[in-house]
Amino acid sequence: MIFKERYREPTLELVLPTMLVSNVFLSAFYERGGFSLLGVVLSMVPVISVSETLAFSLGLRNVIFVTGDHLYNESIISFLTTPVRREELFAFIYFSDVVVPVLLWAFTTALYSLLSGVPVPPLLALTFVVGYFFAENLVLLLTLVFKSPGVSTLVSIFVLGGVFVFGDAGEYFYALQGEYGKIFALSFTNPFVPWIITALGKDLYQQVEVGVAVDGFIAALTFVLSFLKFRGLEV
Amino acid sequence: MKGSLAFALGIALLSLGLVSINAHVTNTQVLSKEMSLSVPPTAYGELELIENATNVTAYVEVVHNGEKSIVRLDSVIPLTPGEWVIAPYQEAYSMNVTRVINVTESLSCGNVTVQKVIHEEKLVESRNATYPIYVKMSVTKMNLVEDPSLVEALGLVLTVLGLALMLFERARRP
Repeated sequence: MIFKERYREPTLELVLPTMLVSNVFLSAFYERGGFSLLGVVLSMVPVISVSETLAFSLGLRNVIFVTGDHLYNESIISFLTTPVRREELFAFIYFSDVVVPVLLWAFTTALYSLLSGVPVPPLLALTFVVGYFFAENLVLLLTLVFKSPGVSTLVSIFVLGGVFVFGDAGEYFYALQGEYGKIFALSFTNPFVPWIITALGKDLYQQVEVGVAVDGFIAALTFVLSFLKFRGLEV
Repeated sequence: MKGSLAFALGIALLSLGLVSINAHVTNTQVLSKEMSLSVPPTAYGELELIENATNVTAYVEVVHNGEKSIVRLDSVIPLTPGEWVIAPYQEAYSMNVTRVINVTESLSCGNVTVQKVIHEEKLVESRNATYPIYVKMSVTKMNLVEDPSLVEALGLVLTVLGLALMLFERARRP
């Protein structure tokens, strides 16, 4: 029931083929980049990549405007009173809200990469997946804290936007200054910046790995916090 | 629901099989040391190896999927999929050099040693690429998928199947 509510008739039919077809940018960037790593990295940056953006926005829509809306108009009570344990209910909601879009993304991108023969480095895919969970879990926590779709939209725009914009600016600044050691501290805000620098010929894989690890840690932390928040939810 | 999903995926696969990128993309690099290139199986094009200086004969070592060949410039090679490694092999050019030699001349008043400047042409051979070698890769066509006909067939099957399922579901609905 939870799954059907989120993926009603035209949603999957629109999202899945669009994700699959929009991966043509992978081929196009790869060709433009002279078949180098830079093309693949650029085409996998969220916002440039249509399918990643779609997965992000689908997840955010589910979290804020479906779950958040249930919390706001208190129709979540009918879910909470069903004879299902809260842990299971949280698992269902989390799976269909957050995990399904990234599974769709992983399926379409793996299929396209297989069909077209463009190699995507596993660490690059992992960077996106971990960053996705980082953003979605943070927004889920904010939604559970504020219990209002409007407030959580604005707060998540400011929080995520601030993290990405200022983190990026800092990373590019240190990269231009040549202080690559300082990128370790900022790489969690956007590991794609060290990826781009790596593709341009500087070896910053360690920074990427540290960034992904910190992202994963924050994602796990916010996941646990939002689970605790959901378990103690009183409406 | 399953019918429409299969229909939509079928159309997506059909379009992936039918469409290819036809924009002409060129990429020129100067060969100074070994360079490698990995070409996906979907790209079609050619590789031009150019030496601009007319008095220079240059040779380039081209390794394609482990097969080594030595190519005399200028040349055009079809860009086939796989790993390419291109490295300068040898260059030869003639150079006008001036040399000062001591010549002993016998004159009536005795032997005199004079210095003479002579011009001579010398063939220089080296392993370095002193004169720039250009590697121009031009891709004329890039398919989106490795095997377009297979993907097209798959897409067609899915489209027809999805359409049939959709009609079937609609007919069963009261």
